[in-house]
Amino acid sequence: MAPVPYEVVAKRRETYDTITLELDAPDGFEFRPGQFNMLYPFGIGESAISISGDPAKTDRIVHTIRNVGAVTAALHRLELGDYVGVRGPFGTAWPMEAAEGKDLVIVAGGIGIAPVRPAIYEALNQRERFDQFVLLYGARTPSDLVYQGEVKDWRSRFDAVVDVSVDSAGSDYRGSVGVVTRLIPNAPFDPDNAIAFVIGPEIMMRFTVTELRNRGVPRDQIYISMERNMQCAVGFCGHCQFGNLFVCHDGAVFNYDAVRSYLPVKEV
Amino acid sequence: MSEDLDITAELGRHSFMKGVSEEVVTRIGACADGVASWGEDEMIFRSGGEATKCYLIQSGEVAIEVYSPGTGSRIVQTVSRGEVLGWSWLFEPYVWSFDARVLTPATAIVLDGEAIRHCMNDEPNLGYPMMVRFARLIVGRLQATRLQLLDLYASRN
Repeated sequence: MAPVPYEVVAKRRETYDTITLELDAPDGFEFRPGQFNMLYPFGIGESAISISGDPAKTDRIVHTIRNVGAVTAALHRLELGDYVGVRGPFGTAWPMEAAEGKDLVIVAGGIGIAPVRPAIYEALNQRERFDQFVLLYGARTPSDLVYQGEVKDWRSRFDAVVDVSVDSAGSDYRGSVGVVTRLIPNAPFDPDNAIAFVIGPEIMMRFTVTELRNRGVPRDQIYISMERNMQCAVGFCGHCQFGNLFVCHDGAVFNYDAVRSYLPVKEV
Repeated sequence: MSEDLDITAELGRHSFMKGVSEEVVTRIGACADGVASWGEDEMIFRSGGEATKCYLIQSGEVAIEVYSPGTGSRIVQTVSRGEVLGWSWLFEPYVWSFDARVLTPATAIVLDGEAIRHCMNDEPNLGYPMMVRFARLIVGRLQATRLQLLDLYASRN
């Protein structure tokens, strides 16, 4: 599967190390929330980057990219009019249908908000499909919070509960400080009728699942999105093997029950 | 400090007391000073001060801060509705370790620390369930602090 070139038509700085790129898709580009693309800045290499745009808007491909290595640094250097190679979409999706009629609880940590943003868009655009909508978003510091304008808009809605917490802040910060997991005990949802999407660093996800379980959310109602070194994206190369699963092919979104036995194991 | 409220009923509705028997709630209610409210930026207590009260937050957001010469104050955690502010009244030398500053107007049930200590000490049927709750609270804060120390969201490159 060869990369298809797409033109960069918008570039936005989200934080000091994170940008959002919008690629023109004149023939349309359909995907499901939670899926990812392989992005190829020509001559540098490929990197798996989650799609962070609205799935209802198929004329643009949106990616939010944190600068963490050679490929993502090259993606950061792209300017309007430049082209980038795209393979995808790949991977499993957040189970939006399974969440219908239930309280949808989304817990996102750090840049993990990007892969789950399409699910947020879909849920808020089709709000009547779900009961409560709860988004708990954690970041390192206030300056690490991405999509700040949108998060503010989401917080102002009467039909959504959106809570944000940062790990550390100066005394001029007016928001909540502490790990995102501490927001779970008092979040307004019915654990017997909730489905939870969790995404962030693996340790954060483990502790988040523990808190959700403490609230009484059944294990099989929890979904997590895994991150591994994905190279081929079609389950051939084995770089992203996780136990008997391939994250690129069987994930990246997994039911927690399917992967929970691997999570505490080193070197999986 | 409001004294008109039914403090026992207020206490029974607070998350921290969930699962506690009515009898224990009534006994702890007898140790309450009432419900207090604070405005933005008011200090509830300061580091080094005598720790005599326990605060069960009902509304608003309170910052637990530490001051470092040269870098100023840092917020190490905030507490809000359903959470508990302060446990230094429980252990000697009963001195606050941090500052508590109100970020958004807050109300809290205020319990008298010394009175609760005596109750918990004299009445094991009350002391044990309360101590379990405070231990759970402290373990939760310890785990949260460990996660903060791990700096989970930091770049690894």
